Amino acid sequence: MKKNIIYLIVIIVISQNLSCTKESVGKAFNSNTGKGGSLARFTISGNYLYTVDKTQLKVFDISDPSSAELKSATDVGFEIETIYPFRDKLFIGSTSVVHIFSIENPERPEKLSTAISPQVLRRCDPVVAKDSVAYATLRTNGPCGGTQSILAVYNITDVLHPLTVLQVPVPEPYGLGYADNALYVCTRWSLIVFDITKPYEPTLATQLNGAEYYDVIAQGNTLICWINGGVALYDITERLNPTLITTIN
Amino acid sequence: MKVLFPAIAVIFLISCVDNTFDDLPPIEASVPIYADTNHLAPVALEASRPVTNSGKIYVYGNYIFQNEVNEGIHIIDNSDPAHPVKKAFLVIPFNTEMAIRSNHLYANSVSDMLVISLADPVHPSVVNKIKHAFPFIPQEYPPDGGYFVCPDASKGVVVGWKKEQVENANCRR
Repeated sequence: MKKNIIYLIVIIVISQNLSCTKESVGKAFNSNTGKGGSLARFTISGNYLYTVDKTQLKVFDISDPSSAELKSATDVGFEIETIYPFRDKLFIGSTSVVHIFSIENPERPEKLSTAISPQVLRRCDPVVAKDSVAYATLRTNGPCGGTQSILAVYNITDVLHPLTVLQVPVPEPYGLGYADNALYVCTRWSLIVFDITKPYEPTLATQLNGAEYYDVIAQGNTLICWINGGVALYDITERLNPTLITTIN
Repeated sequence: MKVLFPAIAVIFLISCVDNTFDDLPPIEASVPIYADTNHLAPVALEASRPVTNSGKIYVYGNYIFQNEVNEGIHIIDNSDPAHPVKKAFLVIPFNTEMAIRSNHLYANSVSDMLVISLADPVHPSVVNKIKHAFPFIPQEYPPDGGYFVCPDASKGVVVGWKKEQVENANCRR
């Protein structure tokens, strides 16, 4: 019995030491996080990495960056394609609907609501959110089928009851992103810039050709675009008037 | 008799399916590309290379990362956006997704998740591997639908699709 108690004490001491080591290693790193595009299946929020595969949302604890410990797996639906973090929410795009999850408890995402555009039967849904508005592109050709391709505008003031407020026809759209009052929508034919000064009433500002545009990341005054041949960089000092800096092939 | 009828029905159905797809002339269809998951190239930093099949993008500090579909990640130094420089190519077999925090890159490789330390940018190292973290995407069917050769699970994991003239395009979506 005495032996057992000694073993127990030894184990407790060792495990405490281990956890101390882990913490100090974690603190030694600077905890900056990168940024992905709207078509990403991986995203980081706080100390957690969230991933979506076709049907499941998974949570990995990365407070110790090298460990990535699986915390939970939640069935979301079918044909899940994208994940986008916004405040304490995750927007998950599928070929049929946008699911909104709360990550107030970061290890146990909880489904709050589902945004549906009844006019569109099947589509592909990258989605981004800004304040009380969310934008999604719904591409209906290719594998998703359906009847029309649009940019959908949702009012998410009440995140439990997202409302479709507008649908703008856009030919073959892919990813999207925004910087201040400009919304950048990638399409197979062009990069379309919408003025979203009035967030629920996007108006066409300009349209840039020259590549097949797939996704964007706005970083300061640079718009980083994934195009068919690699990456294109645009200067967006004037948000509504991007000018090509260079392409990287 | 109770047993016989379903048995006959099943035989009939099977023969139906066979008849439907037998003796089709060669058509252009999607053919699965299998990953030989037993012989994967090691994760390694190589000289920069041209983009052939551009994939998803990610930004971390002054760096842009771009996936080369199923092959790895182009690392681009964007400290001066007027003159971005392709620095290197990080080989990660069958990678399509990535995220980075605290100098650690989280990347899929077939169905595993790799944690790669970028603390020493010249010598990235795999510090953790979570086996079977997610099913590989895309796998069950080609992205553009139509007729395709049905995947054979015994041949490995389907990591992509190519177009070929084939006679055995027995699946359709």
